[in-house]
Amino acid sequence: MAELLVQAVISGVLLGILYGLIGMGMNIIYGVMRVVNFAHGEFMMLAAYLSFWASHAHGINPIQSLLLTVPLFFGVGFVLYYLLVPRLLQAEDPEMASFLTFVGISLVLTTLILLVWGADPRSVPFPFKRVSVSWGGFFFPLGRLISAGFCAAVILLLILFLYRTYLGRAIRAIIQNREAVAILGIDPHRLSALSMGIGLLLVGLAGSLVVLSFPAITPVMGASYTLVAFVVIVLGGLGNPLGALVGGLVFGLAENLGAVFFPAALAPVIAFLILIIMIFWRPQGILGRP
Amino acid sequence: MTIVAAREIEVSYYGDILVLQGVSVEVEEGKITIVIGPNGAGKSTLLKTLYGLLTPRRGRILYRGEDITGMKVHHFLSKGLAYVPQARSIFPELTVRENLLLGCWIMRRDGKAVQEALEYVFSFFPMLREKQRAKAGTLSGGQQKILEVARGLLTHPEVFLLDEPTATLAPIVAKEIYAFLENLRAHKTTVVLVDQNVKQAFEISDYVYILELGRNRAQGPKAMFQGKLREVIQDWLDYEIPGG
Repeated sequence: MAELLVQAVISGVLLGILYGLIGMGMNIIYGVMRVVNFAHGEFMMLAAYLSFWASHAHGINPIQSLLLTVPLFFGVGFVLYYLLVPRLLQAEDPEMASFLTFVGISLVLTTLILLVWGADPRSVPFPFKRVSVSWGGFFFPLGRLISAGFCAAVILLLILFLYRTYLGRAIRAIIQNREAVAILGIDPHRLSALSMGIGLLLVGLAGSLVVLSFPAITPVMGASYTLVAFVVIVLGGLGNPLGALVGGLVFGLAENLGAVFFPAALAPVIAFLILIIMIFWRPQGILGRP
Repeated sequence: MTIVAAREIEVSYYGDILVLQGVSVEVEEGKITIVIGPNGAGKSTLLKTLYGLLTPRRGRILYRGEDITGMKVHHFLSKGLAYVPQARSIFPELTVRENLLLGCWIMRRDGKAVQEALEYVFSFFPMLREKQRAKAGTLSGGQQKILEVARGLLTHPEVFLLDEPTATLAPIVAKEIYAFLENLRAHKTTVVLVDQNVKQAFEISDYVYILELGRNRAQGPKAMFQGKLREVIQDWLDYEIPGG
């Protein structure tokens, strides 16, 4: 039993780091623009399918495909900001307008994936020779280990960026006080577009890496990842990029530990129960401010 | 010489309701100009319009003779104009130092200039040096305002616009801020100060504008109003309490 638990903790942490990365992207976008990217999971699936395509058509493995998805998604986010967000923020009801817009984008992306790659599940060939490595009597699934390693490195870089560079500090600043950045000479639209680019870059990265953990992908999987991202940022604290990492770990652990005691199908239920408890106990999230 | 001017500006927040109905001001370089007036006179609106936060429907904003009407807010600081709004403009979860570093945004590529700028404001406000690692949100109201004032000065602006910097502050802190602003005159910095704290603002002023209901009511050098402040304020009170 103890071994099972440890195994679940390992699994939960490895996945939780990936969830954290997904949530951090959504949280930066939400924090800076007060817009929830309801197409977050769909963007992630798009990146996953691009990795699938790169792998099938050109023999490029998912990690190499990051060279494609990361700059591409950054560019898409940057452009998408200027196309959409200034208009949305001027709408009479910005929340509803942005909700509808991003749900619309999620439908467009899902349909696009359906049109290009069809409805059948696709799988990305596992690029490594060994499926898992064992250490101290425990098994570490290699795909998840490598993906978690990548995510952890990116999260570390992101934290250094947010806390050690002018641009990163400006992003944290605009999250706290949108009105005050312009008087310091910072162009709030440009900063927001960069943040949107970074948000999508992170989810593009997560999408390319997720196939190492879950090799089978379908066009409709996006919605569940959007939900994961949303739960993760509510757990960790809305608008707090670091909170998303904590939220991701909590979610990953809950899902995997839950599967030890209950049927695996109940795992998401447990995760959502935690969300409900959190909303009652600490609605601002673990690292959020009331 | 006039450094900043508003010419006949009209501003509305909503439809045809004009908050400023053709206000004009001329700000003399290196002097302290104060804008006073009763509540709702449009003082803050004037300052926001001077700084590009509001665009006038009619009229022009000039800086050193150049028409800057409609210029985006984030271009003002590199032009040489800094602004401290009435509403809180610090970033509470960032440290004092990070708040100051962001005040150096426009010279962020010049590490030496940033260091010098920090030393410059620390020399005025040693409290900021001591508290630089504290989160700005943990400072007292007065300390936060000092941080905002200091942050505005990092880039050595030629014109410094302040909207009620001492509102809600303890008298001792207010006194410190006025003394500091008065000191700026020696540094050739032009100050435009909007204030409810008429008496203290008047003390440090060189030139006075009085607004009322979105119009210029009176203006002139400090000497013109010396000894008449009481009348002026009484006038507002009479106005604000009909029949009073």
